[in-house]
Amino acid sequence: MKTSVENKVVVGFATSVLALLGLGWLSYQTSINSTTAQDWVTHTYKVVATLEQGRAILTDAETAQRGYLLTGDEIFSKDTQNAQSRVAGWLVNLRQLTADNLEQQKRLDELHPLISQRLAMLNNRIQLRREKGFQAAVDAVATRQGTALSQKIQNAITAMRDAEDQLLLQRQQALRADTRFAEATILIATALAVIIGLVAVIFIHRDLKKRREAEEILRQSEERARLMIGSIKDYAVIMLDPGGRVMSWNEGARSIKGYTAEEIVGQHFSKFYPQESVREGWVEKMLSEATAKGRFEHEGWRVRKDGSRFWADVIVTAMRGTDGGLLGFVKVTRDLTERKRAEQVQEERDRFFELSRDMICVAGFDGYFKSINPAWERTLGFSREELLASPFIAFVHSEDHAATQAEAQKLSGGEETINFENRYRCKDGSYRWFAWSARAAIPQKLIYAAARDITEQKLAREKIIQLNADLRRHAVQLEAANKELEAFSYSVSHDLRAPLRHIDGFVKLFDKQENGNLDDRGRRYLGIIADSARRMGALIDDLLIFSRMGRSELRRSRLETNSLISEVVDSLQTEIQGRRIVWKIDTLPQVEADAAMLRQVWANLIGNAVKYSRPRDPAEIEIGYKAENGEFVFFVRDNGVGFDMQYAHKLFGVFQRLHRAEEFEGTGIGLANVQRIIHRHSGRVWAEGKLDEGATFYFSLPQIKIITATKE
Amino acid sequence: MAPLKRILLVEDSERDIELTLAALEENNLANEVVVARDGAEALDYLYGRGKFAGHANGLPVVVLLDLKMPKVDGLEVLRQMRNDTGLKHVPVVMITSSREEQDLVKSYQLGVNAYVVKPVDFQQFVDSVKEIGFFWAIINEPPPGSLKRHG
Repeated sequence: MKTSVENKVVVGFATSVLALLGLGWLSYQTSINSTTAQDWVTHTYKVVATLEQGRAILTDAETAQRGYLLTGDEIFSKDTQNAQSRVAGWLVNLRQLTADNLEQQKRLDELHPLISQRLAMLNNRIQLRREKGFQAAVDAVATRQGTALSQKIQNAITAMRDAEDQLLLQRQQALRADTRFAEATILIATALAVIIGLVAVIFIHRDLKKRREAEEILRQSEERARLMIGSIKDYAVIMLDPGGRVMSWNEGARSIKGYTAEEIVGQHFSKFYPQESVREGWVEKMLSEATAKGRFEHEGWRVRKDGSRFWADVIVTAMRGTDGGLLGFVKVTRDLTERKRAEQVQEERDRFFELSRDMICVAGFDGYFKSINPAWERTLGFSREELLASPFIAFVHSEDHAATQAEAQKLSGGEETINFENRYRCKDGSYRWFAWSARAAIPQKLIYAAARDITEQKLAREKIIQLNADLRRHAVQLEAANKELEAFSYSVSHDLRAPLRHIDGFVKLFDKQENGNLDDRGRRYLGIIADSARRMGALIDDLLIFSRMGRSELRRSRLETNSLISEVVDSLQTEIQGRRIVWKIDTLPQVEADAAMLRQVWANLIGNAVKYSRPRDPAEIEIGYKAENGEFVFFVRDNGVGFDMQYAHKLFGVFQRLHRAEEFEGTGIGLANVQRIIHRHSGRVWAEGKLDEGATFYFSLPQIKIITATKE
Repeated sequence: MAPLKRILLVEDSERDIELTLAALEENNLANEVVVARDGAEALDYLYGRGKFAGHANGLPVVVLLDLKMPKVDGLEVLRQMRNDTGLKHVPVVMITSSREEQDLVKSYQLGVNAYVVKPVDFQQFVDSVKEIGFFWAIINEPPPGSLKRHG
């Protein structure tokens, strides 16, 4: 369209120029022609004038001859001669002027001798006058010869003049004709040029109008495109200059990236990229790739104005001018965050499906697997193809067929499967126990199921059941043993003591009876017998207590430690009497314990302290505690005989003693009892001592608040 | 000698009977002591049946009852006595070798009046018997129907 208009302008202009050139040339030619015609007219006038001039010269010559003839004055002779030379010049001139006209030349050829005769005649008469005098001359003139000749000359000139007049007439007519032709030609050419110009103008105008209309359409379409791009909301369509600065901004860019056009136009587009991407040179890479290849597409994280990130698909296209120069880039960005998330979720689901250790499957109501995860192949050893090729029941242990089919039936009826167990066959012929959970999508006729391989648990469960049975058997045995022990200690309590009682009783009765008859030795023997019986009684009592401490139920209550200690100290009055003992008893915390048992503990420890400090005066007994790591550590310290630490491990054993009975009485059960009681209260017991420097016995009990806390 | 309040001693061991009687004697508590050699005999005595049939026994002021006996043990005797309206108020002192808690608990549950552990040391036993006899046979006013001291 554009080129057509331009062509038309060029063609129209060229045509007009050619028309004008033609017109000019015509005018020029016409003017040259008319000038020639004019020249010829002028030439003719000149010839006519020259012819008339000749007549005058001849007249002058005749006049001068006549004067001379009349006067004889030489002046006239000279004038005659002068006229004669002028005639010669005139003739030359005339011949030149009429050189173009053969007829006039011929006439001139006739004229020339006539003039020469006339001039010779004139000179002859002048000669005659001078030599023969006036009369002779008059006589000659009187012949009239001269006059006839002159007449001939005049006639000849007139003929020439007539010819010239005739020529003039012709030439003037030609001049007029030329002038008219030129006028007509110019007129026609001008009209033609005007018409061509008008036509060109009309054509050009028409094309220009078309072009204006086309431009308007283009402008409207551009406006529509601009509006369209501007109002696209789902895509950020922006233009960048070659340096990457934002040139234009649309609604989509605003809604995706959060900037308004005012805020962002002129800024570098690296603003949309996370710092790390900018550091990695992504921004430069995009522009250089787009520049090199024309287009660059990339997906990645971008940053919004508020700093949040979105997953974007970006296409950068280089814009080039018609000359190929880089004008900038069009950058189209789509927010794919949702799709990305959906993809990630899908990916995760897929990965979950792939990685799951559980067997996940989709099975049809037709009894075939539709989809299985790799755990199936890993667990059973069958390939996927093998598993999909047969109904799933083919892989189920024949003993589990009925239950499995019943379960599938339930599922297709809309019930859920929870912890249904069956056995699947492995390729190697072994079976694995599966625990199923499943649901059916009834409209799709599909069962979605997951199974866990519980073979190991099954084995473990069986083992546990076995162990439990063993344990129960042991418990029964233990209970029987305990019962036996109880019966034993009951029996000990009753029956073992009776003979001792009898020994002592009858020794006393015997002694009473026979006292007078016994010597000292006899009495000593009786004393030893009675003492041994009593000692055995004490041993039995302590053993029974020890046994009871191990068996009887703990009855915990909150105990005031200090009052417990006071009771114990009071009960030791017989031991304490007559001794100096310095007591240092701290204010001690409450504990939660079995009162009788704990009393036993304090009684043993304090009793020991009193007993083993017997050689000291004064004896010092310190009772204190410290709280550490959630427990109370109580101690009873004395300055008694102490013990050697290398035997410390024997202190808490049953019947283990570090002293002989003669030194310090005792059965060797007290500390064993203490240990047993403290252990039953979740405490620890230990001792420190040095021979002859005293001993410290420690025991720990949980702090009360911890006990109450565990109770709740 | 004026008859003192009658004491029923229920004991299977001959030796214990001898020692107990010696202890009572030592404490001048030579009341009329009826000895039953097991629980069955004790009940026969209390109900006036078996070998005690026909005796106008009357109830003892106190029953000294051994716990562990063949046939019917002390706890069973105590149980039957406490379930019998005629016998339920008769004081019963359990005299036993056992320190077993379960025995103690059961005895008291059944309504024993006292519980004495026979110590190995004879002298202590003598002291205990003295206290028991003194309290139950002399100080304590027995329920009506018990044999009173005569004249």
